[in-house]
Amino acid sequence: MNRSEMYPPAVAGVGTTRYGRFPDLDAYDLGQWALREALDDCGLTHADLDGLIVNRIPSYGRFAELCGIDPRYTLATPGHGRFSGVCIQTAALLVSSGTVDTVALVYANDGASAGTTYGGDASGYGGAAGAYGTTDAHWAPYGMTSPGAFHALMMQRHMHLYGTTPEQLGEIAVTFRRHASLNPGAVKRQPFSLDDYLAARFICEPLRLFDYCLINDGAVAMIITSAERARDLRQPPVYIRGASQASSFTGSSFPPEDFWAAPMQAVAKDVYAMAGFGPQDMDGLMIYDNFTPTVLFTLEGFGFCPQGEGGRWIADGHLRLEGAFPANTSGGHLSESYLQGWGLNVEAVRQLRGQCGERQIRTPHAIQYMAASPVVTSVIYGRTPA
Amino acid sequence: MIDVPMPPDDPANRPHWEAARRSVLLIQRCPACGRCRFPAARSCAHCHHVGGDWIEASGLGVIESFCMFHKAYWPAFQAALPYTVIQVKLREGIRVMSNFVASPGKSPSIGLPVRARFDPVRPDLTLVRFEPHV
Repeated sequence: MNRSEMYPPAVAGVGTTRYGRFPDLDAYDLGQWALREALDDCGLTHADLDGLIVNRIPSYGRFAELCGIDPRYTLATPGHGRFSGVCIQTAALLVSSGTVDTVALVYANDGASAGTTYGGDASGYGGAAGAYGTTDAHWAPYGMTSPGAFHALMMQRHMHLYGTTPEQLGEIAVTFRRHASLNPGAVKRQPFSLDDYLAARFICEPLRLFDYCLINDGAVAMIITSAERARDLRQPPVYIRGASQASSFTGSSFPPEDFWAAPMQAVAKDVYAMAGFGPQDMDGLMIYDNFTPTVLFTLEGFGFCPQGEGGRWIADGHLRLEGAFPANTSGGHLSESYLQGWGLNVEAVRQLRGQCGERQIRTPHAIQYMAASPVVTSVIYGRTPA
Repeated sequence: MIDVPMPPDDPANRPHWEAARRSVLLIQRCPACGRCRFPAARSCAHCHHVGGDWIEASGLGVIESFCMFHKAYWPAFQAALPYTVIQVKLREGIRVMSNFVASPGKSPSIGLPVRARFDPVRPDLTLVRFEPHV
């Protein structure tokens, strides 16, 4: 993954809960469920874990206590979706440096049952709450709140500068829902047309209902270990060929003028060099889709199309399962499940293992995860080692 | 819109809100490098000088973007739906989130010049909103 790594990292196991609404289960129950699935997937036990990274789980200590583990390395991260990529990058570095042998990454979200609205409140997730617009509370009297509105402001400018249309955004929502219709685990499986998309109500104009991700409960776990060890386990290893991060916090109380292009270009340069692949080598894309505009900004920022051309490029159908770059084949956050990046990383692993049934990409070799926000991350997964 | 949510009662920003009640727009400026910033901060993110001066801003700027809320995240905004939030860049180089106030039929647009106006919305809160500046 980088020039000096001693133990190239790989994903050995992945585990997911069902997705929906589980009022009887809290984040700890959901996280343990996903972790049991991931351990069972690769044939390891809790005793094999010497690293633990948790995301959106209130207490790392309580979680480890409930799991009965005493890791040599523990890290807890805030429930902002950008942290899935950060956690995976960190796990890869911990393993590749030999600091730990086997890391469990566990994410749990009980947001639906907890009534999280992602706007207006001070829950730590809503109102942007520092995630999108770091001084958001100051603007509350003006009615400015929510990550959705932050992206609506960005999209309005993109439409103004480049002539991007609602129909082009709609293609993203329609495509990912069609993919979800092929995924038995997806929360929303009923396909809709572009007309249905346009007829749906506005939430924060120019964004409509289907431009927004779902709100549901669910959890994901990944087991990352050395490629050498992963080869002895139950599943074929999926190799982490590259993982990189950059940020744009300066002035991030307000939407970025460049749609986060600068940090995305830095990450793209880095991650493709690590992986020894270019964008044209990707057999599938997993694009952080909290809102449809993020997908468009990501494709431009990572160089799949020129800045400003995202709308037209997407409308050509490249993201469809039968297109050149099948994207979010699970249905993503928009239609499968709101798992803040984790579900997309698991989908990349399952696609490379060939476990995706009707939505399987034909013989993929490399799949790229990308997340655009004030922290940009990308991970490239490969079926073969470097 | 009477029960709009109050901003955090942050002593650092009190001069701004107190001045708004006198129809004056105060923002912070770094005495060392001259760059403006808002909301208030103890030190400058550019030159790292500690301390800031309050200066009166021109109140003139342009709309950089806007969006229209069709969902009320606070009950107080339910009656105001749909309402518009604008992102304004002031001549002094800083940005603010605000609302657009204009005669019926006049809508916000990107690049539209605007000027600040002061709207008391509660006895203890005056908002800095913007209207077209021709």
